[in-house]
Amino acid sequence: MNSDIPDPSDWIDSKLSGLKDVDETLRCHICKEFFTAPMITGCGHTFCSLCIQRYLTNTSQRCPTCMQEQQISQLRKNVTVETLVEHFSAQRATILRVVKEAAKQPIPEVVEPPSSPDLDDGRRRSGRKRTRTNYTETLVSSDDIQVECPVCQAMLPGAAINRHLDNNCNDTGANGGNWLGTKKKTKPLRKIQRVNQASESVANVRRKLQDEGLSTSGSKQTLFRRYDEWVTLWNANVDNKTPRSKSDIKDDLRRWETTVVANENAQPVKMTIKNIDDRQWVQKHKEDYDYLIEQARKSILKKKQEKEKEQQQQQEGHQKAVDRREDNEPDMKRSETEGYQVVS
Amino acid sequence: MSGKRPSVAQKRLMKEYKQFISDPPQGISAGPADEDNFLLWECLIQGPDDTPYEGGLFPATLKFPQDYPLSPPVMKFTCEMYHPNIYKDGTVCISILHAPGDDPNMYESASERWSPIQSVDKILLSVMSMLAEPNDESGANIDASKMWRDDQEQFVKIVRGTVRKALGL
Ligand SMILES: [Zn+2]
Ligand SMILES: [Zn+2]
Ligand SMILES: [Zn+2]
Repeated sequence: MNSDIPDPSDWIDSKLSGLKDVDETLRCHICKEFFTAPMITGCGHTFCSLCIQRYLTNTSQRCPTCMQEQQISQLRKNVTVETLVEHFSAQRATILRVVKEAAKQPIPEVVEPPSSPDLDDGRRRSGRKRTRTNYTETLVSSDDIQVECPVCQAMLPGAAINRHLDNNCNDTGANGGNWLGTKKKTKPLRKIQRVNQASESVANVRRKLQDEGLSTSGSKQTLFRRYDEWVTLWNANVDNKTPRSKSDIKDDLRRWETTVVANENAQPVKMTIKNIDDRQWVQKHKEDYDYLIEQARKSILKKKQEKEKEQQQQQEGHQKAVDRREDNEPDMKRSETEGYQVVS
Repeated sequence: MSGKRPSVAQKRLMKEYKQFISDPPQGISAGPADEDNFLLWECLIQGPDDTPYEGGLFPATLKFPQDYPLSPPVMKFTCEMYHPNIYKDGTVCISILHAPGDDPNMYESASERWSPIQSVDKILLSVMSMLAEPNDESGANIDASKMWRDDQEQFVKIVRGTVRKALGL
């Protein structure tokens, strides 16, 4: 099947079909993608920050999974799941390829998914032999060893010492900090407040939009919705481990306006997704469709013929009424011996 | 890429479709009506055994909103259907297709309602069991509702007629 759309069914038919459940668990129930900035609800369910905020803002104040009441303010970052997604999705394609290749080989083999070097901390399970390569991989390269600068006594990586000396002990140029780790901190992004349509004036919302550098055109309703969506997109971005730039988020807002808002009153759009969809799917579907119809026709005609035969053989006065229960409860069960009669 | 990135709705529907065909529910066929538009699906539902709908195959469409899966799709049979919970124009009235917010049917508990964790296969399975067991609290088709309560024999007769019609017999 089409590998452009990775999803849990990729693991079916592989030697590690159990990974389907792992794959599924690391995906958001709303968008079916791996979690982006996962947030956990008060009831313990996890969704992407953007997905759940959108849902709680626009659709319902209940958890989509268990229907318990839920507010945006109750959401908390699910850091462990975020890390888990990061590691799993980084390895996913490799594991999938390895297990699919293993499936082709006649002799079953134990497949060890390659572990990433940063997980390899030397505390390996006993019984697994280290090879030479593993040793060299885990050795610290001399370039990573901290050395003292003979001139200014600063500690810096061996790899950087020559450049440091060439720059007369002045390293503030390249990455905005010196080697002692006092890197210039980026200002943490702050979440913004939602506005209440009942109490906030249009003028205020227009000013807020202007302050953010967003469009201020449209009806009152449009302005409120635009700002609301901006808050959702922005706050979800703040939850991201590596937040995107403000102009990226503005692009997202524009996209939202062109797909969701613009199409609410218009004709359904035709979006072409040639690279992702697969003509075979549609073709297969059409064939199934025709086949099923043909089968059903045949079976009904056959039943009808059988019925007619049966009727000829049967004595007069045979009851064809549908069973009714004594207690008047409606019941559409047919009697044991006959099917529903086809009305001619 | 054709310039436009697929929306959340489109991407999710592609995944749903891929999963649907990797493990299709018995008696149900469904998929996008054409490859350029994942927001409109065609489906085919087999009438459940031991019901008047037995042996029938009923075509329907699922129309997904731009904000799917926040909002549910609309399901509409494109053949003549006679059922208490199906409007005369074919639109299906079933709790799983109602968001917890909109409330034409108070009796539906929130847990049976639409939520993004539902999916196309769950909708179609619910519709299949709705064919087997009409819900007489929601009368989308009042005539059919009454007939089903008061005159089973006639109800079955009408349904069998629609079964044959849907198959072009
Ligand atoms: Zn999500
Ligand atoms: Zn929950
Ligand atoms: Zn902690």
